[in-house]
Formats: sequence, C-alpha cells, structure tokens
Amino acid sequence: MQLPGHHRYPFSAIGRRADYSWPGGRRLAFYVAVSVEHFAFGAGIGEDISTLGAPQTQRNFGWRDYGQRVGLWNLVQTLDELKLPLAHAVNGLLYQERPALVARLHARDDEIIAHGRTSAELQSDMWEHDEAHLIREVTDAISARGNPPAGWLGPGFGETRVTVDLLKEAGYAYVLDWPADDQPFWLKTRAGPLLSVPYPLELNDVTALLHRRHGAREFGDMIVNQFEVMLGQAENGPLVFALGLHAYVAGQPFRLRAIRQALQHCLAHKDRERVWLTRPGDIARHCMQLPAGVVPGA
Amino acid sequence: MIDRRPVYDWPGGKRLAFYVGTNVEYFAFGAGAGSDPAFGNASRQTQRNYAWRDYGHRVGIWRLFDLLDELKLPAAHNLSSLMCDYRPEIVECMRARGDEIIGHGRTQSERQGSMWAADEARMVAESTATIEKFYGRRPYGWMGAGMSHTPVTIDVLQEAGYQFLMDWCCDDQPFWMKARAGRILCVPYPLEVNDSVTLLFRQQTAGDFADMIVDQFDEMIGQCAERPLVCTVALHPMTMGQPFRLGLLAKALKHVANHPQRDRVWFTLPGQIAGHCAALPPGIVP
Repeated sequence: MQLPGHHRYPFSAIGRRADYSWPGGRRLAFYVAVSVEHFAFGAGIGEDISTLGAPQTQRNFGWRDYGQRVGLWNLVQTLDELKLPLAHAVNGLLYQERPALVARLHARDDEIIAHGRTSAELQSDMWEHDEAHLIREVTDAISARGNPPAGWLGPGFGETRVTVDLLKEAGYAYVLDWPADDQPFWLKTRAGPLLSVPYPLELNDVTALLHRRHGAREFGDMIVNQFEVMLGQAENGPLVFALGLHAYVAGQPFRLRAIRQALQHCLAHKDRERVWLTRPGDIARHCMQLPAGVVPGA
Repeated sequence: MIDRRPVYDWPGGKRLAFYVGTNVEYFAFGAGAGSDPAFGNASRQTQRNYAWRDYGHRVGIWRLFDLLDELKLPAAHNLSSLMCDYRPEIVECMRARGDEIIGHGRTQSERQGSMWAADEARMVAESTATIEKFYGRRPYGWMGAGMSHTPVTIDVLQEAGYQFLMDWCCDDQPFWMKARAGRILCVPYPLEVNDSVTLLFRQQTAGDFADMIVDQFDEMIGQCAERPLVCTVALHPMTMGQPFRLGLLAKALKHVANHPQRDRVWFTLPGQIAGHCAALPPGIVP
C-alpha cells in the first residue's frame, strides 16, 4: 500500500550520516530567532492569552502590540547583554506600517528572516499565483532596506504544496518551516535544492507557553534540558540548538526573567567552547560550502 | 476485583513485570489522521506536523534505541506495518536488538474503529503479512492505531491468530477476553503513563511525565508484594526523542533499571507475559 507523500527529501537517519563540524571545530550551533509580527485590528487571526481561537478584539490586539512597543526592545537588550547574535523573523508589512522599528533592526545589522506579510494570515490556503505575489511583496520590502533575505519562515509554519518551489524561485537559500531534524537537510524544489534549517516547533514560546500553557519557568527548564542533552549528543555529529521567541510573549518581564536565567545557564556551561553562537543564515552559508553529499537530502 | 484473585508469580519468583512499549508509526503527508504538538488530533494535516512526526524517524527513535541499549532494556514496538516498506532501517534495528513487534495497523493515519468488518479483517491480515515477511516472525500481540476498536475487533484478531491484545487498559494484570471462536488475552498497556496522552493531549511537561514513571513504579514495587503486576511505559519517538524530554526520560528509566528492589522485577516483553499466563493452570488468570 502507498500513502500520499511529499517527495521533497529522502529518509535519512541521524548517526548514519557524514560527520562535519561548524566553524572552528565547534559542534553545537546555537541561535535565537525573535519573531516580530504585525496584526490586523479586529480581523484575521491572532493569538489570545485566555482562550485558544478567541475572536480578534482590542484586548488581544493590544496585548500583541505590546510586542512592538515594549517586548521586542526588552528582548533585544537582554540578548545583547548576553552577547548573542540576533535573527529576527519579520512580517513584511512592518516595513510599511512600522518603518522606525525596522530601521532600528537594520541599523543593528541583525539577520532579517522573511516571515510572510502578517501573522494575521496563513499562506497555506492561497492559490499559487497569490502566494508567489505575497512572497515577492515581502522580499521586495526587505530588499529595499538592505540585503535580500536568505531565509523564510511562514507565519504558523504555513505552507502550500508549492511554497518551497516558490521560495527557491524567489532566490531564497533556506526555509525554517520543516521541524523534522536537528541538522540541516536539502529539500528538492522544481528550481533546485533549498536548505531546511532546524527551527523549533516545540522549543518555541508560542507553542509551549500559549498553546501548551506551560509556565515560563517550565519553558526555562526546557531550554536548559534541550541544551545540555544536545551538547552531549553533538559529540557524535554537529547539531543545531534553536530557540524560537516572539516579542509579545517572551518580552513580558516575568517571562524574560526565566528565559534570561536559562540562557545564562547555557552560556556559562563548562563546554561552552564547543558551542557556535550564530544565526540561521550563517548555518545555511556554512552548509552550502560543504562538499556535496555531506548534508543529507535531495 | 484485583484483591480477590489467585496469586501467582512471574518466572523466577518475580512479582513486577516491567516493559517499555514504543509506538513507531507511519503517516500520510497532508491526509488522514495525525497529531500536532500544539493542537493535538484536532489539527489539520500540514507539512509542519508531518515534519514534526518525521523527526521521530530521522532522530528520535535513534536516541531511544541508544538509551534502551545503554540501560540494557528490551522494548516492544507497536509498529505501523508500512514502516517495513518506508523505513526498513528502523525495523532492521529493532530486529538486531531482538525486540518484539506488536501489530499496530498499517498506518497511524487511519483508524480501525471506523472500518467495516471485512475491511478490518483485510487490514489486519495485510499488516500481519507485511511484518512477517520483513521481520521473519509474525506478531502475536495487537494494539490498534489510536487504541480504536470495532464491535468485532476482538473476534477478528483472535481469528487472525493473535494471542493477545493491549488496548483495553482496564487492569494491572492480564485477563482473558471472550471471542466468538475462542479466547484472547488482554495484556496491560498504559493509557496514562503514555507520553502521547500526558504530553500531547493533557499538555503536561516532560518533568511531570518522568515523575509519573517513577511514582507508578515505586507504588507498584510495593503493591507487588501481594500479587503479580505489570508496570509499563509507553513512548513515541517524535515526543520523547526530543532532547529537552530525553534527559528526563533517561533519569526516570535509570531509576527503574537501578532500583534497590530490582530483584523483584521481571524486565520483559508483552509476548513473554502472555506466554507465561497462557501456561498457568486454568482458573488462575481471570
């Protein structure tokens, strides 16, 4: 019996792949991605702190708007103090609606990851024609301010059956929508290979704290446990530790505190010299210059 | 009632049978049933939750194999038979470990409970034959995908040569169930000490789940002085194979494997439990 499949990448088991290292012989790539999002007022979709799937109100709009006004800057300051490189997954509409906000991010020279137009919509139900237009709109908005984005993260990890084809055609080098591995792997597209870089569905404040309703200290424990176990596993193969944060969730002071403590614990680890503090674009660039066949996939 | 039954021992005079059961499942892409770590079974099928489950095949199961090897624990695998076709490397590794395969349908993307009787019988026969051909030995135990039954599942399984099933979850000892053409044993399997139920549907943390394993074991190691019991832990590779959960699972299983009263524990497999019960004199097993 055959089941519907995706035909984007063949099976590959960790531990049965070519070994390689990150730059400087390091074994665990470590990055934090901050999602910076723009929402429609009273329309479309968006999270609510009390009820999953609640209607859009001024209350949950305001709560999420806190992310742009306060949360993002709390996070930037905290991550700067920890001397962590930063990557921001940015909704393209921010370039039109919040030019001063994106100007600050570009001035910092952080990595900008394209994150759709707005998290008030999922691209997964779009026709190919409209999705291609959406990707172009976002790419053009970011490119008008600085370097064209190398990476894409769909709001809600949303994809259609052709998203990765469209991304490759639009010049993207990597995508973060496929949480299938702890190492990068190649996806087959109609325009050539596109790299899948690990981005966490679970070590993600929206999933853990909003959808799964864990506490911030529990999330802090998850960060520490993920880091310590991966650092041990990485002896046998290079791995990617990725942490996904959202300005309106992780930027709340009471959560910031637990997250800061967890990150401080990781960064003070005795085997810290085996960790590569990086960004997903740098991970992708490193993988792309490895000899063919080292990174698994199509 | 558990305190009004004949008392017996497991082999070697042991009293607590312990086994680890994994669920290694194959899914359709963008179709059928499947869970999502944020939205449970209510989620639509997307590349995101497919990829998350595929993590279990690419990474998670190999981490669980390493852990079980380190602790020298055997495992029973509830196996979608399509794993033999799509992920032979994983099934080969189960064979090399000498693990037990439990029939678990063709794929986790379908539910046997909504099948017509004739289709159910054909699905059971197909999945049994696929495993027998690839693994070299057919499974004698069955766990329905999603623990789902039709009114005739017990009859269909018994007629297909199955000796035990595991999806009734109503006792800490095995017991016989009546089928239209004979009888079949029900071997305990956990609905609650089960990462899928605890972590995905009840949204608890890995720390909570590790505590559950330890508390279940510690309570049962006391209870088993009075009667033989079965203590089990159910795992899924896409869930417990995630690094932030794996370390906590390792700690809990080490507690079990190195327990000071481990001489009371029979580290075993469900097939061996069923074989032992079937050989007891009539009337001992309820």
